[in-house]
Amino acid sequence: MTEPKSREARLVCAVLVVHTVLIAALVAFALR
Amino acid sequence: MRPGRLPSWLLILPYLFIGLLPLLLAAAAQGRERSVAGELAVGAGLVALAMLLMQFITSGRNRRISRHAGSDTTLRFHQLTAFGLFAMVLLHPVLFMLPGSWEELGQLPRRLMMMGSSARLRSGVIALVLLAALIPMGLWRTRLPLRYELWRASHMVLALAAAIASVHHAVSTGAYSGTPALMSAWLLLGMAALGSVAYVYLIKPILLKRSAYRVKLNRQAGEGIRELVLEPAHERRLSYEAGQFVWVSFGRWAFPLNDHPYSLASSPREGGELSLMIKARGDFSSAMAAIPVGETAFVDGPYGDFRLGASEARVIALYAGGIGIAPILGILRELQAAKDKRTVRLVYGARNLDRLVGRDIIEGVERSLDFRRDYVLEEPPADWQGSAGAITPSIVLRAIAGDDPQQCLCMICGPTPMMQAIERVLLDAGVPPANIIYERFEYD
Repeated sequence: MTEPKSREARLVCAVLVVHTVLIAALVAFALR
Repeated sequence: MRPGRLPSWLLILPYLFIGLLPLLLAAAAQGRERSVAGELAVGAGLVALAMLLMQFITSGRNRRISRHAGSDTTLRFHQLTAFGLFAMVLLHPVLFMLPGSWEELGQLPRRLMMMGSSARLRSGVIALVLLAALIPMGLWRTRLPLRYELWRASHMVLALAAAIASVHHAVSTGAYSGTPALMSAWLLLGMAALGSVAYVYLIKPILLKRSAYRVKLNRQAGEGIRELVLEPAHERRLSYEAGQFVWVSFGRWAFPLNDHPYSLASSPREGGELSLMIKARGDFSSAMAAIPVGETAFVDGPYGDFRLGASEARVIALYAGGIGIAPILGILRELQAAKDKRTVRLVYGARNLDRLVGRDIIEGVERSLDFRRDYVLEEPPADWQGSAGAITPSIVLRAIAGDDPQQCLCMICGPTPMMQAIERVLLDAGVPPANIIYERFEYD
């Protein structure tokens, strides 16, 4: 995958990473 | 990365920490009474509340964040995370309602009615309705028949009411939120959210009164463009870097709902006076022209990341479209006052000659810097010698032709589509993303 260059693309990636981490933590919390 | 600036991705770490904190505290609490779906529902509610309270910090008026990430990036983050937040908010009741059998499915309407009318869940339902109203309100701001000031006030009041109702709902009904650790976390986060609103709307207006400015000059700088020069009314002066912007309001009170963001067209090296270039828009234009010399101006700032910083780039390429010339004039004045030895290029697009403002400054710079300019007029006069039409890719590249793209610092200010188009051309030409600086003032 090529690195996102434009600022908007980088920001969207950062937001997706944030949400993925939060959802993963949420699932781990429910399954604990 | 430019010196004096933290990488923006570092700012998501505290966001993640606070987002995860309620889950960690809940997981550390004793006992677990629900099914997986029930725990998912509770967890989604906890994450949603933490995200909601953090929305108050990312609403664009935090100077510490905007200096590193840029006000526009912070606000865009605020917009994008609102969707994730709302998804979590919706998951919270939906997962609780999820039927486990056909029999339960049949009871769903009755359960929904019960949820809607339950006194115990009332604050939660209120929060849900308020948040559901906030999302379209944010999405379609310019399409709503609301003046910006009114939109901002209602957005803030609704968000505040949603946050208070949500915290009440969590603390009054939540099994985990009733524990001392989580209750303290909600109290602290709630106070931080409330504190940031109180700071902007109550404390800051008082502070701004002590560092007020006075209108020294109010003149027509070009067709539909006014220049306002402000001088300090007190000893305290704004400490800023050329290219940054400020929120300004005029009159007797620094009422934050009346302020507007303006780029500074001045350089701090030239003294304490601030120059603002303001484009006329609707009723606001006549209001601007009517501001008398001597009127008090309240200046909140500086904000934003549109600044030279301590960049070691050998070439500075400046791209301005329309009123986007304002911060670029500040940068040019800064480079001139610092007797900068670097190569400076300017591409400046405007509709016509009357809208090409700051030519006296630009032509003054021409005599003292290694400088080349390219004026691009959409509607040029018959005897026009410069470029005509829009700022095309070839005009963009002409400014950095013959220079190593890695050594170019490119600063762009103008309408959003123009900035993004220039950004794409520069990226394709090999200019590193960190060397392309722009700040958006439109978010729709």
